[in-house]
Amino acid sequence: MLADYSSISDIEKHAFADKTLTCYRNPIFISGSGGKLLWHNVEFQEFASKYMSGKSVQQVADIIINRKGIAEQNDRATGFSLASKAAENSPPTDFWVNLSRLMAGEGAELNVCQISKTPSASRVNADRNYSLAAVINQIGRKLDMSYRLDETLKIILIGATAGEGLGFNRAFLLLYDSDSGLYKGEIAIGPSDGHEAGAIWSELVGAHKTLDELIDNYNHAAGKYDVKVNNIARRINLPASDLCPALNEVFLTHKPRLVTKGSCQSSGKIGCELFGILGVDSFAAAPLTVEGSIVGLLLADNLITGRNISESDLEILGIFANHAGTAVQRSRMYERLQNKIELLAQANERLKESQKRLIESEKLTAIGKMASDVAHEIRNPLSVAGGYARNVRKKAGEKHEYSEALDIIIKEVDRIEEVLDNFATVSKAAPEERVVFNFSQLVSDVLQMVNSNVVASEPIIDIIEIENNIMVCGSEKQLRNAILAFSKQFINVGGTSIPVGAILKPVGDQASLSFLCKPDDAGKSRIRRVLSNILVSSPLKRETDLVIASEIINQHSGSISIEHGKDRPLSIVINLPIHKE
Amino acid sequence: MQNILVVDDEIELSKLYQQELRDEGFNVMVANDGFEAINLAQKNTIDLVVLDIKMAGMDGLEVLNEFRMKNADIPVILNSAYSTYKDDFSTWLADAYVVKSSNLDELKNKIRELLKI
Repeated sequence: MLADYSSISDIEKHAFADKTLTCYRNPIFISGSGGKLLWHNVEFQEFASKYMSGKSVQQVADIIINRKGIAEQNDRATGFSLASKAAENSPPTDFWVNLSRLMAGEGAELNVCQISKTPSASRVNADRNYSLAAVINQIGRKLDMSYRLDETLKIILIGATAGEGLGFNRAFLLLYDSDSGLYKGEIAIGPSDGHEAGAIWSELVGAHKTLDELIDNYNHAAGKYDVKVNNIARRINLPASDLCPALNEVFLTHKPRLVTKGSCQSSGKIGCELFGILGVDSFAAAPLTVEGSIVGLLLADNLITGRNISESDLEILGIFANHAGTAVQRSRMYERLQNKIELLAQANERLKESQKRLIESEKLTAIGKMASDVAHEIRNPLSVAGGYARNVRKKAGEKHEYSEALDIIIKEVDRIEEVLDNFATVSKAAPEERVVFNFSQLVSDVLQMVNSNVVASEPIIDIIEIENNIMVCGSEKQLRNAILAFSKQFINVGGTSIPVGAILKPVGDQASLSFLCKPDDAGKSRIRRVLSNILVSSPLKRETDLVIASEIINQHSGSISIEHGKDRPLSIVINLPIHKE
Repeated sequence: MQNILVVDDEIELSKLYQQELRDEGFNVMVANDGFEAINLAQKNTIDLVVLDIKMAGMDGLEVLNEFRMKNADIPVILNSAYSTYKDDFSTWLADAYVVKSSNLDELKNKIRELLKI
């Protein structure tokens, strides 16, 4: 009703006149800024007179408003008990004071106070439920903002153990590991003995007032005490079946339950040993369920206080575990997404690197071709000039007057031809530092890059088999360019209509990389076309990268061969010595 | 006397080869392009071919392929100013590869070796 009024003046003008609040029979008062009493009912005046030693209504309001600790609680209604005496000699009477702090429209605060007799048990329960609902709400908000699994797990456990939360002494979180098929202890918080409990709780109580603050600062305040309890957690491994009856029921019903030594019935089945590991006679177990499957288990106990775990505790733990299950699943999905993003980023980096190498390869090809063409254009006329000089010199004999001059010409032509030989060699592979590297990875990268550059629905080079971790010693960069050159040949010459397979495996002491057709007639026919094109193509039309590639293989003590047989596919095989430690 | 076919579009070089190989005791025929070479080989008995690679029209490797299909047993020496193709498997169909040089000793030795003289 007060929400209808936007200011204190509104309240003064209207609220009291229309008897909005006067219908209540309990003592009620409203105070404004500085505790000034704005309004009270008759019952409040009677209460002050009868139960507060005849103090004035303003004095009683001041006592209530200024009660220590109440002033800070401004986000929701606060209840507290107040013992009062009608007279010095009369016995104290307990009252329940319900104080709400409201913000009026002009930024001013209003305190609305209602006094009743000490609340009933149902009221106490209602207040507790309200408090728990607020805790679950806060934890939910925190979980909503958390995407990292470790952070999510910690929030769940803090919620289960913090005094303001579910209030268990310790909590353990088990997550399902699909590889092993076990629920494994992942993380735990709480003290391992009374001494640690005292240290943890005094730090938490002294430093943090709200659950939000506690979650934000937990690692700094109390995380250091969790080492022992985490060691306990890591000893827990539970299968999903063949469990002791009590735990088995949790898995069958998907509901939380109290697991006691009695309920376990010392069945000797898996799970009974948990009492020994945890050092308690009973604990609560709640499943973390997502879409019908149990993704984890939340175990909680009261090792230190020994407080009994009630049905109500279990119910709340169950709600909490459901909430937590969804958060865990979401965190896992987020982590998987992050991993995918990371893999994509790595693939993108590799692609960029491959494209860079491709450009380097193209440059190498262009330089090689240019050097080769220059050498060719000079060598032809030089061969004619030098050849005739030799021819004339041979016929002239030793005593001819031009013999000496012809010898000089021949000598200088030889010099130029030697320069041309070196020039041509430069256009081939330059020597580079040799290292041991993973040839399997290199081949895989190159083939994937070649395939990714082909516009076709299917890859042109089908990677049939690449045996992992074949190590080769040499120049990784040069061999990458060489393998790239051979791979590209199949595409450049054959086009996307000629699928070729690739196999890398060790054969004796050699790494054997085969480019081969699939073992059918059509495939053989296709690869013959590729080979034929390679063998007879015009040097004027061809790039010189294959020449350089061959030279690189030779320089690495490798070889290139063609293999074929009656029942074997036709293939080009590149062999390189395997590096052995 | 054994017949050697020299195929090269460098006319001056062809003349030099003709002169030098005749001096060595061979009967030398010259073709200045690939088509002429195939023609001569069809009409004459050829014991060995000295074949340039870079030629206008039909290049040496295409000529080599033709020879291999029709006269598989004739020894062919690829003789090119391109030293880079010496290790290239596109030239493997030839019996030998000799880089052009003013010094014809290597070529002559290779001819004798292939003709088993």
